[in-house]
Amino acid sequence: MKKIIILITCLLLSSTICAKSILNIHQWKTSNGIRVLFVRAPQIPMLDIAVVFKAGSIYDAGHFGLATLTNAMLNEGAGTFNVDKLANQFDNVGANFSNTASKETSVFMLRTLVKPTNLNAALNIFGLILNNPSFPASSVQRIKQQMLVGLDAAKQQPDYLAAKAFSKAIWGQHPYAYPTEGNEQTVANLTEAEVKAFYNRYYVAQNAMIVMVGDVSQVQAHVIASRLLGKLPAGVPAVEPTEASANQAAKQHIDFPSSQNSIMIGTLGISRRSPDYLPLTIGNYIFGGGSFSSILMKNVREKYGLTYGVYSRFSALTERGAFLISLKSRNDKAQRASNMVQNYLAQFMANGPTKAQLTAAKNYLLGSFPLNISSNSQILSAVMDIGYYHLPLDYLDTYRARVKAVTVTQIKTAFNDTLNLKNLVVVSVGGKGDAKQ
Amino acid sequence: MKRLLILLLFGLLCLTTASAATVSEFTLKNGLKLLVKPDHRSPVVIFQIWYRVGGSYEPSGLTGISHVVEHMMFEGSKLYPDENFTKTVNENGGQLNAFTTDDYTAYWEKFSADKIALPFKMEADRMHNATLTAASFKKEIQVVMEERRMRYNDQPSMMLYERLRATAFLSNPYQHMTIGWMGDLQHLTVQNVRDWYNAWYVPNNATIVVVGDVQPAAMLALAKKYFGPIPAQTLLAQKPAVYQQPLGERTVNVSLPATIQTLYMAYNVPVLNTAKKAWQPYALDVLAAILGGSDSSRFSRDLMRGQQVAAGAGASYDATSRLSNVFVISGVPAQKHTVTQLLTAINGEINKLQTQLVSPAELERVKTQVIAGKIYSQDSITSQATMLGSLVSVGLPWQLADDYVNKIQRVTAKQVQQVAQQFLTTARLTKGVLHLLPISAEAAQHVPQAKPNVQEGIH
Repeated sequence: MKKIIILITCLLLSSTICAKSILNIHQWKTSNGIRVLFVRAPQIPMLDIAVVFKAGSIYDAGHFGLATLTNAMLNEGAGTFNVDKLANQFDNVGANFSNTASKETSVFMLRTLVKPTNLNAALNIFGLILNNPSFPASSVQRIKQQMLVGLDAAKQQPDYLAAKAFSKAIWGQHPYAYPTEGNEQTVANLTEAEVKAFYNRYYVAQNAMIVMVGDVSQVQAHVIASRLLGKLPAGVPAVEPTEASANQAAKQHIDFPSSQNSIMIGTLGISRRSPDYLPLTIGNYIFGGGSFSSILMKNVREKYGLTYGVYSRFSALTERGAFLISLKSRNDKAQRASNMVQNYLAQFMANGPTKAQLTAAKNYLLGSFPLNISSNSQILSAVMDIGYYHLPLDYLDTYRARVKAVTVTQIKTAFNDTLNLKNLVVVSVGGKGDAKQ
Repeated sequence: MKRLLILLLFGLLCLTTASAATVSEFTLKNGLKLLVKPDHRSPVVIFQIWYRVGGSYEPSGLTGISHVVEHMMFEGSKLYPDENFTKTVNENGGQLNAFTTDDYTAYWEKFSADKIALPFKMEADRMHNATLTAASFKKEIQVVMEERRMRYNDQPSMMLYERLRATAFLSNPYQHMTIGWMGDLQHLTVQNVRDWYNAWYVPNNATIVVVGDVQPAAMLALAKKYFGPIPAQTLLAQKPAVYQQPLGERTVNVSLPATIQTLYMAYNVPVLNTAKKAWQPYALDVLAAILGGSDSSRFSRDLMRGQQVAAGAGASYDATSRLSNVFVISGVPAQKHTVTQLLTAINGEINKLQTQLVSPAELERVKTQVIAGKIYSQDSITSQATMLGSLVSVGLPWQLADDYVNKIQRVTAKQVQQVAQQFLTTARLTKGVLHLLPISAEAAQHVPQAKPNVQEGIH
């Protein structure tokens, strides 16, 4: 009888919460101060865990590539296990492990089955990697070599060359300017001691977040979080990045033996927590945000056939990220395509979207909203976004209302407040086109 | 009390729906196939329509045409002229796209589940009422050529892979990539496109797959309503792709401005549709995973970490193509190592597989990963639908989507050794090497420009 009452209470509780909230996000802190966000998803017997440290390349402090190397070193040896053993242990239980470093973060992901034997084994190895990496010297050398090959490979990619030049023009000396992969000189000079020091400084509880989505109970989730990182030293949070100062206008062409130009056009954009984030995101959807219906796609591709794809985006970070339009167009048409994009941007800034365009955009964004949180991996990234940028936990619940409230004037004002066309950066990498174009 | 009961009932219902979903299969009178897999996890649905036509159906001179037709399908139909196909989907909160491969062309729309009637109506219209105007073709063929430049012409390793396939397949139509040769794209006409569309875009050459928060009976009703009236049509008879026994090793050298040496090794192998023994493709699948599937596979352990002769190495094999295919090994040498050294090391690994049985632990590991991968794939309605649609479109039963795991479980160490001995032989091998030319400002001045015989766009 007692059991039944508990069952009924649980159902009542869960359904009340469900009725209110799109994602039932539970949040707490571990005893050593790590923020945990958890969403229960009982339909598939699996669990996704993301562990995020503020330990990205902006903390390289001149040793460019250090954050990436450190991130890659964690599964190269831990406790008494060497790299081969660690890889075997994950694969033995069908767990997927991955690690990546970005400008701001170092992220470790685990996807595992929740069958107790699988879950336990996967958590043991994951915990070992995060808490007790051994940083074998031989691995430092090998990963450095692989990073150097990667840097070499990047040189045959016009995209990479364009992105590198674009970042430099946008951010100058700001830490956001530097590629996470580092450069040949700095990577070659990275040492084991630097990796250890970086780990000790940034892989600490005050600098960590755990996000979990999957088929475990809330009680289990508490246990898992403590078990994973409960013994990590508290440490000190990383220093938040400073705001970048406005970029200068720049125009750069890099000769490259390709049949197309890689073109990147943009300026400094916004921070993730900007009050203009939503009007800019909606405006960007209309202007060039990835759908075939955008102004850029409808014209540069659909009307003139000058490109396969042209996309614009605000890559919002803790501080101001970039507003970037990217496309590729055959060498003899590249100049025309680039001018066309710049003209459409100027027009959009001057006029804003039409009412009809805004209505269409809202219809899409409101209608497609469920599509973006329909799988565990999508929910995981949505909650990571909420957690990392300290957005309100009801962020998704208020989303529809906030979208509906955005006006044409707000979008136009936000674009003009954020972007200054006089500071436009235009980078192209490719063959020289026909001068007449 | 009533409320509690309802909640209890609700809880029970939830439990029921969480159990493994089954697939319902229907065939309309006009030959159109419909597969429905309910998945009530989220109030969303994916609709896919698959046509059995792709790169491997194309005769010489018309390479790339299936993919061009795919592009043209977004250029308007009777009920949705011009840009209105995409516009209608987006304004209803839907997402859409399409893809073409060697064996099929597929279109998909993802919607909130209450919109499910819309893709039925829209795809039925463009199945038989696509506009295919000369003006839109003239523009769109340039978009396709931009796509080719982006994905192939400016990607040295893809240029190598394209030449490798052209050599590895003697008479099999996988000889060319789905994108087609640039020269063929330049000479394609709107009439070619119309003929191709008329020949293949018929109900008896199509399969609809719906996965999501829907009921099979309702989907059947929608299919009948919108596709039922479209008449069946006799399909062009396909000549058999006659397989030529490989008679010795072939080598392809490609020299391009590039910075990274690349090696490809393609072995002619059978697939599920063509294997003499049913277990062989599954054994080849396990073999690929043992060589290069993950961090614990042999290439990672021995070539990247052990000998450190490779900066990267992988193995790939797809047992589910329509015709016999290739088992492909690819690699990039580590710093201060050559392609020749990498090749020697890879041959060493192959030799080991041919002479020594894989350990039970290694075999078990691969099988566990396959089982786990199957469970993880439930997280995506798209991958569930794609699995069903691709199987049916190459002439395999959709039941294999579930049966595949069992088949892999039955593979033995002995079978892995046997396929390594029988198929990873030099006679079956085509080797491709990318040789590096310098990337320089001077080289940039000599990039071949697009041929002037292709006219500019509408304006």
